[in-house]
Amino acid sequence: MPEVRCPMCSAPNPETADVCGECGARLKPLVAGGDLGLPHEEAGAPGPPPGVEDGEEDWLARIRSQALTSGGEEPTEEESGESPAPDWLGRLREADSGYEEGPPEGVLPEWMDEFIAAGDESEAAAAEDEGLEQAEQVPEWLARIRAKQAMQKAAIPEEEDWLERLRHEGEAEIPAAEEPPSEIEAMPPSEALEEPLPEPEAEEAVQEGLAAEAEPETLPAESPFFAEDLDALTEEMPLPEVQEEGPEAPPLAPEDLEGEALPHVPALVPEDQSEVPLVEIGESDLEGVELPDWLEDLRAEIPVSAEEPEEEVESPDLAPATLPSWLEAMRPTDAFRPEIEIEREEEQPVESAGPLAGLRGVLMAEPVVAKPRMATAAAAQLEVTERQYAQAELLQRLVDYEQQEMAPSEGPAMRIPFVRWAISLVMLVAVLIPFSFERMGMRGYPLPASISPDLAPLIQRIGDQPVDRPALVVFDYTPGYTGELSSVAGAVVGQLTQRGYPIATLSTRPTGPPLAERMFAEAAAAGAQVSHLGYLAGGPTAVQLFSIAPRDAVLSGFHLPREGEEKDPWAIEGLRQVQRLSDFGLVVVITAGTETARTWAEQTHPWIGDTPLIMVLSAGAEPLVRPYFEAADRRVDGILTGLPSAVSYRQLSGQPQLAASQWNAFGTGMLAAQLILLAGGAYGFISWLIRRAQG
Amino acid sequence: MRLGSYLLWAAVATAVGILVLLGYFVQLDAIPAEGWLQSIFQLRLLLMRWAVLLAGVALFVGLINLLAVHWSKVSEQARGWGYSAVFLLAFLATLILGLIFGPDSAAVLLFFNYIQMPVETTLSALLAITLALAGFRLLARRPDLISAIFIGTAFLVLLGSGPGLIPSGGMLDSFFGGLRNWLAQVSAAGGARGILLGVALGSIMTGLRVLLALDRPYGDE
Repeated sequence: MPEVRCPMCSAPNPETADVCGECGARLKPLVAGGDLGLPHEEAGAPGPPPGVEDGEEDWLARIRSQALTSGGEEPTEEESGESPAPDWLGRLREADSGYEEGPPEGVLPEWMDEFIAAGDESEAAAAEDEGLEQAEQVPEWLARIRAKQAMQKAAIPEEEDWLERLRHEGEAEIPAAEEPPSEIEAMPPSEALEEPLPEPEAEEAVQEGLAAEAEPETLPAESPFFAEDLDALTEEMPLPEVQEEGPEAPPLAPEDLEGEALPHVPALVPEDQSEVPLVEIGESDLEGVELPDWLEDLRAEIPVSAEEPEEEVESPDLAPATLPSWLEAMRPTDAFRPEIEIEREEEQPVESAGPLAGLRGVLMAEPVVAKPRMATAAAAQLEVTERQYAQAELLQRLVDYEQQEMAPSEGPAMRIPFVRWAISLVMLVAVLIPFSFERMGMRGYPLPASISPDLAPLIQRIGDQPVDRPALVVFDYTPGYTGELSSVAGAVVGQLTQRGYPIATLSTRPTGPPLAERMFAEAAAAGAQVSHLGYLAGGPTAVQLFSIAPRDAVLSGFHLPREGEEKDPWAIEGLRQVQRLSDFGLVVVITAGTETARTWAEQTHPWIGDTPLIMVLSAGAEPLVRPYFEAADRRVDGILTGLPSAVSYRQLSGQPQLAASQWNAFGTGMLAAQLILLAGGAYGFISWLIRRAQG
Repeated sequence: MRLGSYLLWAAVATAVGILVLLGYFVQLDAIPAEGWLQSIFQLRLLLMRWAVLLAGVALFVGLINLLAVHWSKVSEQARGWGYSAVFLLAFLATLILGLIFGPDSAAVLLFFNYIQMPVETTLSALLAITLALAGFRLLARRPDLISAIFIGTAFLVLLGSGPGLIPSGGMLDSFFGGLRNWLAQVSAAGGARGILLGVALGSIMTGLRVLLALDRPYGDE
């Protein structure tokens, strides 16, 4: 099937197609006078209109073939058949079917022939007057056309007036508002605006106008437009079916056809050139319009003698490509001007995406839309208040301050801590000297003669308790207090072992069982019955639970005897009868902390029964535990505190005394401490007096 | 949903608190061997066992946290990470020995008797020297009435607590002995009783607030 390539997008199309199926561009150029004052659809119709005979197709096909041949384009084969026109073109035809631009086919009155023959303005006016005189003979369709033309001509001066005024005002100052002038709103819409042509058709209409302008004057012999063809056009031009309703029109002359093309571009009709064709395109305009090759050749053959187009070009009423200053000021320039540079069409790339794919010279949508651009200056500026600006400055100062390097601080002056070393040396010598008393022949400190009033009842209470029930000894102190408490508690433990109590140890501290094992190691080696129940976790709750159900609280012991594979501490002979805390014969709590002492005094009281609770305390814990001892309802049955009381306890209970070196070291240490306090007090008092004397 | 959970937790906490509190007012001998009262008593014991178990787990969690803290210091090379490394080594060594040989084994007791106990005792001895030094400097640095009373009281207690400037057996010893007992058993015990009363009132108030669900330390707001 023969094909015709689209001059715009180069897409192949059937030869019978008038418009490109890809881009809609016209494939078959309109010949000079093709419009002929006929409606648009008739000018671009691909085939002969209905009712046209075969002889009419011959002259049109011949014109086309000659035009293509002379234009150097590829010759197309003869049409083998008619291809259906696109749907949109059919719709356009239907929409424009009622468009009245001229008399119906073959219906031209006699006065029109006279008008055409006249050819000048006066005669035309005279003919018009005659026509007015013959108003009764004017058909209705012609009256409507005249009314439209008159209205369009009347509207053009108003449009030029406000444009001129806007130009003058724009040069003076830029208006604040861009509202359209009221003249535009009041102006009735023209036909050209109401029924715009498709772009390809509009372009071709311009080309048709060019052809209509150039052809009648000088047609060369080899021009595709021959005289007989023109005559045939005027005489045999098929007319649309719609126009068949009108009266029969006379044959049209070429100059009349030009006048019939006026309704297509009424907005370009000069005000003072009513008789001049509205489409006046000169040589310069032809250079800016892309023309088919055959038309370029034709234009080259036309003599340049025509000076009228140049004059018309030089004096246009509308300044082309001139924007008012206020509109120029509104046009965005920064964002798009650097990005879009209009190049020659031959140099512009072919659109590769979108509905305009294959077309050259169109705006490239993708680079403009997708290419990132710099933000405009207005978007980059922040609108901040003074307070926000102050806060930002404060934050900036904070950040700068954090980044500043701090100057290295000067370290403390190096000096020898003389007082500290002196006091340490005094204390150390005071504790060590008693170990050499015997070598130096010195007598140590005498044993305390005074006995605390609380000591005798305690000794008596422990001495009176039956030994058939075990004694529970709780080791609730840390190893740091071993030096003090081991000496004090040693007196009570010595009495217990001396009397033969079965002894069970317990601790609420993880370090308690080793301390208990250490203290009772010698007694156990001597044959005393000692059972270590180990560590009791849980704090006060565990103490209460142990008081209620000791067997539930303690499930495994510590350092139990390996004989007999006894792993249950409660299976030992001395502890078999123990079911509650009150089953113990005596409870001794050795502690250095007030909290532990309070816990045992408070949590065991409801379930301890008649079992005495004895507290062996460090000197610092005594004040807080003594209220439980001196209360009317005693929670603590005895307190033993301090090395002097322990020495007295040993004396009263008949136990071997502490080593003399230990008692003497205690005495010299106390002496050193007293002297240090006296020296410090004297030093401070003298310093105060000196400072006071110096003012 | 929030109100429902609030009521549920508050009811549980109040019921458990009242049940444990009532145990202080009931003599064990008055509880029959069988019956609903014995059941309530056993329920109370069960709750107390749970509390002890949770306390043991808390100690275990505390050990893990301590290990994690020092491990992070070592891994991040933080300041003093060497001490943390020593701690980790001692911790792991003791743990391994305890798990293998038991906490009452000779190896573990060796660690305790020859490392832990001397170290802690030395620290207590240093405390005595530090207190003596502080007493020496106190009046020189803060020459006011309170400092003078503090130093004077400490000196009197030292005089009455043992041999020193005043030998035992004399009249001065009896006098300062009596004075020391008065200071420790009257004035100091009076202050200690005030402290204990305040602690008792605070404990009662805290207990009542928990029982009345005014304080919800169990998590819900």
